[in-house]
Amino acid sequence: MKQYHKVSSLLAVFAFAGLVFFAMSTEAQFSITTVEDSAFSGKERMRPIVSFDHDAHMAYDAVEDCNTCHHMWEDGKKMDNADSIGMECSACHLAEPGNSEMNLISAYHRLCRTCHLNEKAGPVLCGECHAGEK
Amino acid sequence: MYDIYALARGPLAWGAFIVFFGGIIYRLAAILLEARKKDHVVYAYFSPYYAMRSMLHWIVPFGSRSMRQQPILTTVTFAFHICLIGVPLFLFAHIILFKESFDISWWTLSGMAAQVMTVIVLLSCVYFFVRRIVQPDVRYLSSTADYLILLLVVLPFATGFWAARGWAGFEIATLLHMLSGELLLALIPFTKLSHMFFFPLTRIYAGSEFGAVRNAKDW
Repeated sequence: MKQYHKVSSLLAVFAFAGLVFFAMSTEAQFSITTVEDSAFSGKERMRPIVSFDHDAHMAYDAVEDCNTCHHMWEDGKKMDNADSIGMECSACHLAEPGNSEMNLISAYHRLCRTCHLNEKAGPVLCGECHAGEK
Repeated sequence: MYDIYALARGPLAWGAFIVFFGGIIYRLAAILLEARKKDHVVYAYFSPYYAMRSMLHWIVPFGSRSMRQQPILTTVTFAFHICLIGVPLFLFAHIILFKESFDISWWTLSGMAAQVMTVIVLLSCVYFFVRRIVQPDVRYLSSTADYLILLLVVLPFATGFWAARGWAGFEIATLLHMLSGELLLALIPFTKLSHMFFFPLTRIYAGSEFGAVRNAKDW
């Protein structure tokens, strides 16, 4: 009987440790902390990568819906009831031929800075976002 | 901070570009009209061949006798002017702004090259400043405006370097960079910095007279 308790408590410890580990790994997977796009990978960065707290942004009043940022445009109009969740920004913003990286960079700059200027909150200067090491 | 940024990025930037290009056109037109009135003979003796020959000798390093007589000044001044024009026109961060505003872009410098070239601009300005103070003939010819012009050039490059490096206080440096750059652009047509666009006229004038009239070199 004593042996049984030992084994079961050991199993419980392992199970709990596994649960904690699982929770931490999913946390790391879903909390977004930088602006990333596969279009930037493998290329030399001109400025340091941008820190970005996705969860914090979802709580801001100015961010009404997911499609405030994850927008979907059709025929030059932003669609009210559509979003681009799960898509990479480069899926659309690299669609134009030529100079594609600059298009993507411009899109990020416009999206972030326009809102920050309107709300008078958040970074707008080059070095405020592109800070630290490359 | 947001208001100053919005002002510097919008209306002041437009103002600086309009005053810069408008000022160049105005000053060129004014001097060409004045010459037509007061110095009409300049037009009669204008020679494209001698004008080009003069320009070529003065735009190539050590292409003139006075440049060969002052090798250090010549080296510094050519390095300075190449970097002075090259950095703002080909800086990646600037081209990004052109891309965002006008959807145009062109070749850019690497970050390291831009920083080295900025240091060359700043050290050259230190050299020019010391030269104005130390060399008696240059000191005699220097006015307060000449020192202020030097400061006018130093400011956008020093603050730009500070902003790019992200050193402490880079927020203020970035705003000062935008404002001082705009001030510099707007003042170019109305200060001695106008040699930027008067240079060809000077060479056309001297080249034509020395070449076509006096049959002599002007370099």
